[in-house]
Amino acid sequence: MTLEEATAALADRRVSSVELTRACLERIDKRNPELNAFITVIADEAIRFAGEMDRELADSGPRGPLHGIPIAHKDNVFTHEGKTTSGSKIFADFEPSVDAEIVARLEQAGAVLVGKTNMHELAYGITSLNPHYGPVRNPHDPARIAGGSSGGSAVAVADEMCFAATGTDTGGSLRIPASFCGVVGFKPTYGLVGREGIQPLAFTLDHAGPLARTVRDAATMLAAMSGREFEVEPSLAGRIVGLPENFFFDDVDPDVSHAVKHAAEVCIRLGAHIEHVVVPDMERLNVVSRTITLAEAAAVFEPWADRRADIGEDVLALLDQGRALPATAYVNAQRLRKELIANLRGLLETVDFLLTPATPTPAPLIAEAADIRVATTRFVRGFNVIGFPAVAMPCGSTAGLPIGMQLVGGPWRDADLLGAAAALEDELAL
Amino acid sequence: MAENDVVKQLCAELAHAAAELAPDAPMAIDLELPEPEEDN
Repeated sequence: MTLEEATAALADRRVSSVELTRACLERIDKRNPELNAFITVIADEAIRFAGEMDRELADSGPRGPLHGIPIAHKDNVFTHEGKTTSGSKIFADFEPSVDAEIVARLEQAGAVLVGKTNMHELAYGITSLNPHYGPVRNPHDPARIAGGSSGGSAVAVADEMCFAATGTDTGGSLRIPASFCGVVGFKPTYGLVGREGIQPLAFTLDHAGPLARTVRDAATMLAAMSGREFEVEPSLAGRIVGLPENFFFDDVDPDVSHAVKHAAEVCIRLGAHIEHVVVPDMERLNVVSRTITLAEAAAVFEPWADRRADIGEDVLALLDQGRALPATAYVNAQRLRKELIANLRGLLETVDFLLTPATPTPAPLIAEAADIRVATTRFVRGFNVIGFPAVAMPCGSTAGLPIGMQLVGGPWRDADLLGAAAALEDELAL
Repeated sequence: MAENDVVKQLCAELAHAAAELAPDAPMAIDLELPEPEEDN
């Protein structure tokens, strides 16, 4: 059942919020011991709030499409309910006194919080093989990674432990797990969704966004998280979709390449024109992303620099690299960034969207997940540097594993991007 | 690869990427200074 279907069922009184919430909690009980998607389950308060939403629905009608819908938050999103660990031993007992802006907005919209999801430690990595809270496992094959850093949120959504979840994305952390788990991950335009009360990783690259089972469900979440309304018109008619000739199909699994190019053919069926384009600066964007992330993350976590024994090996290595990075590298990366934004803005004025793979491969085996960060992030992290909206969504499968594509839009054209993605999702009918 | 080797390599890649950066290219920072209120 999608979020949209659950909203309709609640509105027709075919189901109650308490029933939906209990079903999610039962699913968590059954599946979480293996998949490890949740760090904290908030059962009693979820049932209480769901009951309150049911009474309010009967008395005065729904607050909106999220009224009574069970959701989850990534565990770097501050909630006054339960702990907010950020997947870190350092923050194992951290109990925020206030909610993050997106938590307050989603609660105000009537969403029911069922728990806090597991993640890559400090959101600084893409495997979600967490040394403190255990590995998040892929629901399509538990021997494989879920992706990250928002791995638990993607698994919780994919495995129907909740209807949608929040996540964060500094270099692909919504879109990579979406690709590996077969769900929709939406990174909005930088600044669209408020980050107050979210543990930072790299201040100028961090984004918050939704994970959901459909594009329309992601749009519903995004509207509530941002406090804006989105008119999602599922259409690609008359639009120009840029299909990259360079970079994005280099060293890509053939099944991934085939599935994304099939999606391009579907765009044509929907009335779009495919323009073969050269996307400038992707290698430079990735270098800028790595430099800025290293420097800003080292600065963010400097107060805990003496807690070396409490930080996992991979994250500690990155923090050490950040501390060793010359200040001139950071400054020049930020200066170069401005030039690269202008170049990509120019391209997105000639095409409406870019269509690319989200990840070069389907989900790797846990046993083979060492040292895959740079290769796995190469199609997604550049769009954090420029701040344009980007969505990862399923476009096929191979050997039982989902394949994800990425659609990128121009800045502040999030609603257009959602409309294009919804049209593609309808036509692909996976 | 040792930490310093990783950083050296990244710095070399960045220097290459920024080779044509204009000397007067500004840094992408928004100071978010509030606009002055209009006089009544």
